Amino acid sequence: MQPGYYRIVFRDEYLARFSYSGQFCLLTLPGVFLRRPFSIYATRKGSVEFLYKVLGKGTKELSQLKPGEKLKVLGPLGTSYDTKSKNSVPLLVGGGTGIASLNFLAQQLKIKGVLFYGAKSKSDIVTLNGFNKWKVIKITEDGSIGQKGLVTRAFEEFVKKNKEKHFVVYACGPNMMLKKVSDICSKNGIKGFISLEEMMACGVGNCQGCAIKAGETYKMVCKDGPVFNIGDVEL
Amino acid sequence: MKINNNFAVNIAGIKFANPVLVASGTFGYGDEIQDLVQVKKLGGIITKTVTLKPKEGNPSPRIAEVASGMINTIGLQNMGVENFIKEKLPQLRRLAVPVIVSIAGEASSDYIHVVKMLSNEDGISAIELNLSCPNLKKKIICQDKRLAEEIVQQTSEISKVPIFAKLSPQVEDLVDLSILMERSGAKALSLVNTYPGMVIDVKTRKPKLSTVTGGVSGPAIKPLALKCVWDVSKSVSIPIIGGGGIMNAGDAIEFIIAGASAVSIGTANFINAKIPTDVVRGIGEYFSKNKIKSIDEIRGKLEV
Repeated sequence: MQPGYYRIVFRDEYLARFSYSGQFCLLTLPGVFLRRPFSIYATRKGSVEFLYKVLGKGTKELSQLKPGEKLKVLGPLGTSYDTKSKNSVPLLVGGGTGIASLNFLAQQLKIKGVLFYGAKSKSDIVTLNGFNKWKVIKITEDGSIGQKGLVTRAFEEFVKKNKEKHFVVYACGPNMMLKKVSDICSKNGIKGFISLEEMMACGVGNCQGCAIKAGETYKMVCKDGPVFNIGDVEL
Repeated sequence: MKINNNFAVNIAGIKFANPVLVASGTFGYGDEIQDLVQVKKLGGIITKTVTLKPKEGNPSPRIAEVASGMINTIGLQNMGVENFIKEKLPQLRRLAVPVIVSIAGEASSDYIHVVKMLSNEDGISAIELNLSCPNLKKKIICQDKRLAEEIVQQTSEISKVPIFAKLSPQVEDLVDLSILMERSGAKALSLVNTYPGMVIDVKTRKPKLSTVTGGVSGPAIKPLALKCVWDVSKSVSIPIIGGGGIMNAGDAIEFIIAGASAVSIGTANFINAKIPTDVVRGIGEYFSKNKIKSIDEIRGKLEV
């Protein structure tokens, strides 16, 4: 993978069988106190995969595990992407490591569509294996690979050029990106889903740590999310 | 190894099958976690704090990690006592273990009002007064001795069930305060609530929590909380529910030796949901191995 990016594969029958795209798992990592949430990147018969970037102590420890080692994993947790839409073409918008949950989504979607994959530069664009026969548009902020600019710009231009078609949007990435995508969807009457992340402790809806404002109340990203309908939460 | 089950405890007339409780704010209302934990194996549960009116809680971010622990600023998000009675109490009644309801308010009138409403309901074994949340706009309640005294006195007068007082360690004199709580009518003390603290993100030079400061919990505070229990247990006669960073049976037994009649496990629930039931089993094994027939043999029996 690109420097700093890793894929880790766990052998587990149940996680593989019962996970839906958008869901995450809590991994118990050596050297840090709280468990860390990771979106499920892919599943195969008997195994589940996560894609991550090394950012801090927890992910560093994770990257140094050797094959055969065991790790405690709690999952699958949270809500999943709604893949029931039959007539709409899926438009996926991924920013940085947000691509992880979208890769699993592509695995579970029956219709193929378009992926807008944005990142800072070439070294942040990872090789994906889940987008066979998809139209994949890469966008980098520095233009080192694909189009230059922000992924949301490329997405907006595409939407404008294809006003007559029926789309369903799925987005995962930094909050700024999700907010822009939500605005574009609202303006163009497109329904869609966003996947969020937030600091978590219990991961199951008990501690109320991972709150996100939703109208007059706070919803929990671990339990009411991480997938939300566009427009349901404030970004 | 045969597990000794002679570790039932009686606190304020309530019989707990074992001394392990789960702390307020870490177990919700007992429903969300049932597919991960066998609640009936616990000694009891202390619910998330309810307030008179529903509370939104604080903005995100509400939690951050610290070395060997975490810091939170949830801000008592809860559905309010009316909704609690309607939506959560019915299922709490079905749990096979004593339920202690935690309550909080801004003025003594809030506490009294909530206790009045709860006193009309069955299924509650005790009420724990949260006098110690560090994440509200106002000061920590029990830092005002007169106010804490008033709240305990007035709620004790009208409550149908025993009143417990959960105190903050961030007070001028915890022993003094504890003695005052006993004198005012508290039938047990929960020691201790979280320690005020903070975390700064050096990348952004901003606080990691939305409210800048929050409450620290987890193993990082265990030595501190343990001393609180030790100091207070020598000066009061009412039972103490001790807790702060308990992660295993050994930790729990430390609190019992220091004087606690029961222990509360909180943050550990976020690390591994099985910890509380593992602690129950571990205490049983300790009793068996050391031929201890009752918790009285070791409670407060620190040899100095």
